[in-house]
Amino acid sequence: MPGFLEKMNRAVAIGTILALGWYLIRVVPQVFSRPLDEVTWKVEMVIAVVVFVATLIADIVRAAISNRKELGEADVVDDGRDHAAEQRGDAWGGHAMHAAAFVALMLLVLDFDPFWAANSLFVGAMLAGLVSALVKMLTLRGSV
Amino acid sequence: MSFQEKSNIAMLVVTGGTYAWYFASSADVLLGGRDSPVEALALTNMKMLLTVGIIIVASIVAHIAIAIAAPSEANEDADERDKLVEMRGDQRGGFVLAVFALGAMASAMTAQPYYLIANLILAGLVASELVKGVSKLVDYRRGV
Repeated sequence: MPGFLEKMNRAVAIGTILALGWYLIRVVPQVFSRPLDEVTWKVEMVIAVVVFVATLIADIVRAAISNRKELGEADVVDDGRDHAAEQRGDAWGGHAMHAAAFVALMLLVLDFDPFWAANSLFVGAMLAGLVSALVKMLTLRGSV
Repeated sequence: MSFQEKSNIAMLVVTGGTYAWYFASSADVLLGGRDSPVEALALTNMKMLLTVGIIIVASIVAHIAIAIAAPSEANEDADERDKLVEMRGDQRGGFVLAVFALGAMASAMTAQPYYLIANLILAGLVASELVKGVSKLVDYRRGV
């Protein structure tokens, strides 16, 4: 049975996929069908973040209830393997975030509309979270 | 002191020094609103490119100097400790960048001038590199 930490990372991955998927379904078709000024993305971005946080909280509460015994016996991050998984996942997520920030910066330097920079950062941050959660899960399972 | 540790100190000094100059010399443009947004973007873009050039040249010179001072150390591969120190630095730097990215996204959503958003992203990248460098410096000194 997966531990609490693994379930928490799975929750992050599922929340990210749901929120990012919903956002892209709402925004991408608009980009191809109307001028950039008329594309509505700000409200969608806020809703996507709320969806992400809500699914994350719900999944973590569910994982905490099903892993009550484990949580009562030890800290959430309690051994060397957990620490290594956390650090490796966060480091990979950090690299992905760096790449997204660099792309956003280049787009602004090249005078693209801030829509593209904001969306590079948003999509990049969501993908960085996903990469981080997946690397943590793989490390916890001993695959990395 | 290992090659990796010296390299980290050199990059910390080069990055810190170069961007201290950049932000100090651009403060009147970024905070004062003296120039029009278009002029401000052109000015900061030019300086940004200059800082990239300075960092590339300075880091090459610094690494050549470090390698000449201790040629045997320069050929050593990174060991487990170096990798762990690097990972912890990446982890901490990633968190800092994520905060700045959130700020840049909010700036883009509230239609701030391009040059402010670009400089917020740049500040995030620099702050993340500095946090990473300081984290590595502390971890090398105190041990991990």
